[in-house]
Parts: sequence; structure tokens; C-alpha cells
Amino acid sequence: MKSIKENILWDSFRQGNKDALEIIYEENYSALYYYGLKFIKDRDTVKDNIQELFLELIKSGDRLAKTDNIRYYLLRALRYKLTRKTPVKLIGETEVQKNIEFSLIESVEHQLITKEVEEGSKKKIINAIGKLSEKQQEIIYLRFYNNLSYQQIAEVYGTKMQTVRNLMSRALHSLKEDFRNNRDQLLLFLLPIPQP
Amino acid sequence: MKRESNYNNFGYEDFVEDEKFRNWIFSPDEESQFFWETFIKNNPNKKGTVQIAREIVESIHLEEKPISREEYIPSLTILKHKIIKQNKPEKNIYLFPNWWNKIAVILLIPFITISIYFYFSRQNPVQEGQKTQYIVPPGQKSNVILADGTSVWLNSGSTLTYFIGNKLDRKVHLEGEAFFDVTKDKKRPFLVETDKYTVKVYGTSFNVRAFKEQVTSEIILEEGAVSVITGKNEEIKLKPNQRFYINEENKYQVSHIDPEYYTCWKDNILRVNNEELQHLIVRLERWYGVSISIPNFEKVKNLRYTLTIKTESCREMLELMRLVTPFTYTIKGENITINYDI
Repeated sequence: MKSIKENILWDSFRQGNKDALEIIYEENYSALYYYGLKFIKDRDTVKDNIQELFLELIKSGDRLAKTDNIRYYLLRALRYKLTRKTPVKLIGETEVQKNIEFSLIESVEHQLITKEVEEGSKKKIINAIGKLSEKQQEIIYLRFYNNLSYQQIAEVYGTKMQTVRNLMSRALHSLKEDFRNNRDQLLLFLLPIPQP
Repeated sequence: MKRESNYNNFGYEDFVEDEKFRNWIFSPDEESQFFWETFIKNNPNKKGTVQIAREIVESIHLEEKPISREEYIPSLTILKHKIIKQNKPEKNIYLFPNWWNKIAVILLIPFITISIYFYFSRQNPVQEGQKTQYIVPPGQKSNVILADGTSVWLNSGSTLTYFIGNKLDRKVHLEGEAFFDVTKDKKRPFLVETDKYTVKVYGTSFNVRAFKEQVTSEIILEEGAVSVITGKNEEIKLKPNQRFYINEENKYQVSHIDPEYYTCWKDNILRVNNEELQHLIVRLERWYGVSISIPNFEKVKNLRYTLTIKTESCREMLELMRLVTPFTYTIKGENITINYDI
């Protein structure tokens, strides 16, 4: 049912309906903002990019592809926009390029500070996540925080669903191994579960 | 609602994947607390697995507070303002936002000049059945309007040959890819010959791809009706939104497709859907008019890509591909070398 509604909403957005724009903006702003922050640390730059993205989408109007999952569409579009913006040097023999990369580390770090976690455990967690590849971190984020399906994540990367599944499986395994080795320290942090 | 029993054979991965499980850790409440405590009590053998899963979820848990209305409303207001401004005609300042577009323009100028030269030099008396050729070099596209009003979009690296003077015949020979918008004429069919087959039409639009170096060939029909006459003199009728595909053994098949995917190149869009690198490379070389070499080609030729190229420069396209499969590249003039990290 949800997809049918999204379809209609997206269609009216494509036709330039202001109310549709408002609803889509409201429903997706947070997700886009936090996703963007994983690529670019500067909050204002992320906000500017979201605004620019919407402007471009509106400009494209009915040339935009149809979708029944707006969140997915927008995340993918923003990702494309941010990663494409990499400053590229003009023709040269060899060049060192700094890619804009996805990273969960800063957000997790920030999270741990606010939780007043013990220094040792903090390092272990950061270390464990740092061992994951950029892609693995992003897959975790898209899957668990934006509920994208494996198929959709695969489309974001233009790869096979099985590849994404494998990456996830290896990521979880790597985390598991890390935590197993540091069980004693971590338990102090992880237990007990905070009550609401 | 999942019942408790379903969780009995879960591994740690399954728990992490389970939304109910994650919600318990992300935002525990009395109900979920009770549910999971009971589960562990009844399944003591799962305690370790649950613990591992919980540690993983905890470690990646982020509390991302929704952005408040007050925070995003200003940006929405600005956005709306910009939309109104955008709708007013304004000078386009960013006509050439990047360097590659300028190159394209520079390349185009000699091309146009050459075309004009050929055009004028052809003003001498036309002989009956004189052969005329349009050759579109790699990296360029061209639009030709034939004497009968038929529009032909020629893709990069294609050659269109036709005979002028013979007023009764509408016949062209194609090597490469072209999109035809054929002027209606019930009396005189329009014929497109390729090495493998001939397409016969009376008025319609369709796409033909028949490159010399490719052993397969295809026709996409957008509207109207065409018939394909194969080398064995078989006649196959196509309906709109159908694709005729003939393979290296001259076996053909007809399938239903979305024609836009196959014909969008004429609007300067290159669509690649789950295509192997070995085929993609050929298309990119033609699209950009470059030559691409890959040292460890055998290892990577089966990598599959899905991408859409609109106005991206060759460099931007390489950057896109690198996002999916890490590699480094060097560009020297028209020669590109790609070194995969694999």
C-alpha cells in the first residue's frame, strides 16, 4: 500500500506540485541530512547540497524517473551528487585524488561521547568499525538506518545483490570477531540496557 | 508479528537483520524487554548468540534525532524562492561549466567545417545511383535528414550509405547504430540494409544496432510496424516496444522491452544496465572517441556495471566507475589506461 501512495506523491512532485514537495521535504530531510554528514563533515555544505538537489530535481520535472520508494531515490541521488563533486584536477600524468568517502566513525564517536562510555571500550568500538571498509560501513547504514533492501543497495552501487550480502556478512563477522576478543571490557559498556 | 519460536534457529546475523531485535536495542520498552528476556530464559543456548548480536547492534547504534521543523523550514522557504526565480528566464552563465565541454566544442567546429566542405563539394552534377556516405567518427553523433524527409540519428562510429538520384528507391545501408524516424510513404517502402538483415518499413521510428566488430545485432521498434528480412529470406514482423535480436549464429529472438533504454543515446544519454566490462569498454570508446587499455583485462572483463551517462565527461565517468570498482587511471590524449586494484 505504501508504494502506491509514494508513487502518486512522487508523480505530483514531478509535475511541480508544491504540497508534494513540502511533504517529501519534511519526510526525508533528516535522513538525507544524516546520510550526507557521513560523507561531508560540514553541516552547512550538506544542507546546501540537499537544497541544490531538490532544485535540480524540480528542474528536471517529469523527466525524472518514476519511483515507488522516494527515500531510496533521494538517498541515491544525494550520494551521487556528493561523491561526484570530488574536485578533479585537469589532465595530468598521475594524480592524487581525495575521494569523498562514507564514514560512520565520526558519528559513532560523537555518540560514544554523549553516552559517557569508558575510554577503553570507546577505542575498541571505534577500532572495530574502523576495520570495516567504507562500503561496508555504508551498507550497514543504508540497511539498518534507512531500511533499504539489499536489492536497492546493490542498485546504489550498480553491483549484484549477492555482492552486497557478502559484504554485509563479512562486516558482521568482523565485528563479531573483534568483540569476542574484547568481551570483558565491552560488557561493562553494553550491559545493562538502559531503561526507557 | 513474529512469534518467539521463529527465533530458535537464528544465528547472530539473523538477529542483527531482524528489525524487532534492533528496535529492542535502539529503543527498548517494557514490552520488548519482556519479550527478549523471556526468549533468553526459554532458550538459554541462544544467550551467547543474542549477546554477540546485541554488541554488534550497539556498536553501530546511532541516535539521530529527527531535524526539527524549525530547522528545515527556512531552507524549504529559500528553496521555494529559488524555484520561482528559476522559472523566470535567466541568462545561463554556466554554459561551459567544465573543461571537457570546451574540448567538445573545439572538436565540433572542425567537424562542422568538414561537413560543410563536403556538402558544397558535392554540388556537382549528381549521377544516377551515386553513392553517398555519412561517417560519424567515434565520440560524436550526427543527425541527417534524407531527401524524403526521413530523420536519421547516427551514433558514434557509424556509417550510413545511401544512393541518391534513384527517386523510386528509399534504401540505405547501415554499419553501426542509428535511430530512424521514417517519413510515411505507403507506395515506397524504406529499406535499411545491414550485413545480416534488411529492415522494411513504411513510416515509423526505430533503432538499429549493427556494428561490424560486434557479432550480434538488434532492432528496437518504438512505433509503427517494421518487418525484418533475414539472410535466409525469412520475414519477421515487429510490433512497437519489441526488440529483435540476432546472435552470432544468426539465431534471432523477439522480446518486449522499454524502447527508451535502447534509443536514449540520441538524446545524449548512455545507459548501461548490468553490462560486462568487455562490452562496456567498446561502447565507452565509441561514446567518447577514446581508446581504453586495461593491463589485467582477463581478470576484470566480466565485471558488471550499471550506469547512466548524460553530460558527464570521460573523466567524470571514470570517477563514477571507480566508486564501484576501485582502480586508478591515466589519461594521455585519447589513450586511457585503467589499472584495477583487483
